Amino acid sequence: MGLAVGRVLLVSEVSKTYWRGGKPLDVLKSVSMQVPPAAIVAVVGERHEGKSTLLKIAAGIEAPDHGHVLFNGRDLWKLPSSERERLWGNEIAWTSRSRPGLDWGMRDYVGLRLAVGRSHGRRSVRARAVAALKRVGAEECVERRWGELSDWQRVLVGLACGIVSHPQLLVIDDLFDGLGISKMQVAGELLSSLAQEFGCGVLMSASGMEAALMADVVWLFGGGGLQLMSDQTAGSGEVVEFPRSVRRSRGAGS
Amino acid sequence: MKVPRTGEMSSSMAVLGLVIQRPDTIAGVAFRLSETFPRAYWSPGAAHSNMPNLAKQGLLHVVQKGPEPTLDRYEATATGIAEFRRWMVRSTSLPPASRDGLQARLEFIELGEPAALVEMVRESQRRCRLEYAEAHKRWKAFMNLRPHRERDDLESQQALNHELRGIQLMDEVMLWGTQAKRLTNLCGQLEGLLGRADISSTEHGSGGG
Repeated sequence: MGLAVGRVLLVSEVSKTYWRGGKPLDVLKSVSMQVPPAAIVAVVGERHEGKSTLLKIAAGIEAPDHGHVLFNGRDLWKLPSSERERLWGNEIAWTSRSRPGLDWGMRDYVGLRLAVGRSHGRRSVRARAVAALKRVGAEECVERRWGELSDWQRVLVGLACGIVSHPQLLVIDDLFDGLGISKMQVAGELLSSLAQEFGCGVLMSASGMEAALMADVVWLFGGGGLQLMSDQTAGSGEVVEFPRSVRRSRGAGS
Repeated sequence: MKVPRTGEMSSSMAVLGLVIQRPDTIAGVAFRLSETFPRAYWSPGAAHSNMPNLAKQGLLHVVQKGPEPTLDRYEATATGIAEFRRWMVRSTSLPPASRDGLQARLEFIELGEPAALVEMVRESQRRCRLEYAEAHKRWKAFMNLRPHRERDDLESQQALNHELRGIQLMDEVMLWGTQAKRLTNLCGQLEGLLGRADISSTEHGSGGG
């Protein structure tokens, strides 16, 4: 697998309650999980049950009621908001397939992630946006607007938005839902290569199991909790010991 | 040849299919049966009992005698191959869910059932998750180890066979994943409903006292 040891993100015992019509709705009940670098972690579950809330809390967009979110060992919700905002859009990227509010060409739309609150020049922003679109194979979308894109191109643009800042953590909300299985495989290979190339951990949500095929770790979300389905990261495998004789001879030599 | 009414694969059909894939001895087929269908829970002697029977029915025949019966080498006859092909394309008479044990229990469930029933669903879901993890592991290993192919090699017989294997593995992951997701939803719905039924009966009970 070649996944690096350690974790980019640790979500620890996070809870979140919304109030609807005066009644509490526990959307997250003491949820814990982690994202290693260069690994893809998928959270699969029905729509409108709380997956996006979990992802927003993990990305530092929404605050949990209880629990901790550690990004590279730093508690996101104990950081000053200015520092959290700096991380968001730099080291932490968020992407989805939702329609952008601005009717811009995709070069400017992707570049917007770099431009907000940062010192990149306009030319540099545009060059990096074009490079990101090319990297995901969406160079033909550079001048196009959202309404002119196919569903697949919107997925690619979503990925370009995600990687344009070369983040350490990429959070992807329902970007791949509705893709057929063959497109899903192409998307999976692309996402895996991006995660490896940038060494970034990927946390993604999906409502169908198809999207989880590409993941290294799969969680099933339901009833406000997570259940581990599969963990294929390097550290999770069976422990295979050296034969005793080899261990002894290594020990003797050292 | 008698085919199970449910359309599920019998051990004799599995044995016949394996011998069609490759002529083999009883010992060889017994090994391949457990390797290919590890979760089928057929009798350990399935190959030993089925192969001579299939030979008696004219579906297999011995092509090389071994030093002992388990080392006799069998091959499928033309009749055996035709029988297997017919079975492959025959539609099943009942969808599997009609004979699913969980479905049958749900048919009889009533409000006020003990939590043990939900626990049973949860246990089924846990087993599906274990199966999913194994299938996902095989799928990931397949994807990581597959050879890089040039464009003009993509239609070669070897490449197509490799792709077919990928489809089989992916289907297995999807099967267990979908089933686990279904059971998670079912658990949540049953827990919610039975919980509300509990509250309702408590409220009625206290109102009456």
